[in-house]
Amino acid sequence: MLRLPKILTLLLGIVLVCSARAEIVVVVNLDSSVDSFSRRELVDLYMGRTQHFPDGSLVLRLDLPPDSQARSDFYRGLVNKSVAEVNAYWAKLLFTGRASPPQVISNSVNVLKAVRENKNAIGYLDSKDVDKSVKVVSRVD
Amino acid sequence: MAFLRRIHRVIFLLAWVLVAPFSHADESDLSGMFRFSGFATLGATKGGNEILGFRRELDREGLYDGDWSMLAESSVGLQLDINPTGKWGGTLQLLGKDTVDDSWSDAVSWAFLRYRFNPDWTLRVGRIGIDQYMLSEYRSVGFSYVWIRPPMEFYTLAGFDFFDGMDLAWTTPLGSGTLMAKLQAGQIGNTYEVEGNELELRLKPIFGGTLHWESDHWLARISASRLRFDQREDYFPGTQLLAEALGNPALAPFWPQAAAYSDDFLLDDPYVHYLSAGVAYDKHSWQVQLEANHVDSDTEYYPSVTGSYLSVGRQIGTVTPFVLAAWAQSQNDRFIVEPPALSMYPPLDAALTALAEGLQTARDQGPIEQHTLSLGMRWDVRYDIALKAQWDHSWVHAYGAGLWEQKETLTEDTELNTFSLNLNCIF
Repeated sequence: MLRLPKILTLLLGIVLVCSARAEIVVVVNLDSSVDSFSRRELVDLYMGRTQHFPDGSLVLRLDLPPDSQARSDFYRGLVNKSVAEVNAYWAKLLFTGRASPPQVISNSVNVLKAVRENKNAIGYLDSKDVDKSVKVVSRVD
Repeated sequence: MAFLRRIHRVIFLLAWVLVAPFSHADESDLSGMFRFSGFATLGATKGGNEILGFRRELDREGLYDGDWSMLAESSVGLQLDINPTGKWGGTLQLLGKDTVDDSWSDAVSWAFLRYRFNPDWTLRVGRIGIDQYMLSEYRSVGFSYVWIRPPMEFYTLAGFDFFDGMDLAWTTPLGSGTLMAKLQAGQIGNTYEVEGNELELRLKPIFGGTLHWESDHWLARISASRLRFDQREDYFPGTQLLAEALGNPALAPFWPQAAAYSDDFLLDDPYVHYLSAGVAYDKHSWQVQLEANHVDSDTEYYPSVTGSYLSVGRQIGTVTPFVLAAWAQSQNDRFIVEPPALSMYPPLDAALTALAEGLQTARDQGPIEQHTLSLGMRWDVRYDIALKAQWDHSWVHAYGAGLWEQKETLTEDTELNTFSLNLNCIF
């Protein structure tokens, strides 16, 4: 009888671990004038409402591949939408010529590289993959 | 054969999309100088009856007798975006679908240059989407909405997808969202099918304005536009033969109203005004959308109409079932032609009767009075592919079938079903 609570706890733990989203960090170049981003500013950038940093410079927005877990977690945390829903939303902006979606980068290593090499870049990745070569300006979970 | 080639292209693109996902990775060109993208819909539609032909847009061919068609709603779009600098950019979009005239110039849906003065102000010049209603600019991109098609009662009559001219947009944060104000000016030329004849409409100038506010969960917009038929002092396109016959002075002794009927075809005050308002809400898996419009025409042969629709959808995992109700109603009562007096000369009487019948038919086929209830479902198979199914049941009133292609005047109230199944993708 004592085993049952243990098994239930274990099962609950597994469910929680499996359903928990990874913490996503949003990163910019070390030389960027931006030190932090509010959720609203991130939504405006990643949902195509603005393509500029607060200082007016053009942003190079980076995305991870549509089948990546980090992309799914990022948009779920940011706007509570699935990748398919975000794509449907972007299809409206792209195919009306209003805005282009972020550039897709194949993995988090290349996101770090692209952010290091581009002063105006912004990207996101799983917090376990981040290093000191970029500046963390926001967290999404 | 052109249609077959087009369908082959859609199938090819659908195959390609499976290996080339939307927003594929390309680290070699981070500048975003060139971006190729596209959208496609491959659909089967069953609709129409022996009199009324289903058409999703006015420039499509009618589908009759409850037949199945792969052409009625299939389409493919290809887009090239060029962004050489942050300020300058350009977009070219080609749209392939089964239209009445298969004209290649109409297949260019967008071709414009964009100049961004600063983050708030943007000017576009060229061929641009006309921003009349909520879905006007992306009605062909099936992946971007939940239904098989934007509601017929609202969108079929808005037959103008694009214009040639310019627009100026201003955006600013407002409350919890972003406000966009846009002004558009230019001209339109397009071809439609009316009673089996191709009909070219030229509208010049057109002016329009839109206010669009969007937050995380809400979208609200109003728009107004004013279109002018270019054929001023001329007969309404496609009505010239009938109008000239009615205008023959020899008819006056037997049919005094004929000259006035002929003048009704003249475009002496050739303006059409569109007003619309819409609201959309998307939160906690609920998707609710409502739009209403009023089209006010000074021309007898372009109907003044009021339309609206309400859609409610609920997302359950990757599936979104929805229900949609839509209405459209012309403003004017049925126009009854005064019959001519008989001349006692049979050949002339036959001609007069034929003219009167022709005129009554022309007056009866424009007005719109119908409503439709739709049930359907969207399934997001993958992040770039959606499968949809929809059933529409339409109640069309006698002499109110103006949204349908008509083989003859609809003289009795009619109910029709339309069934559609389609696959939508972006790439």
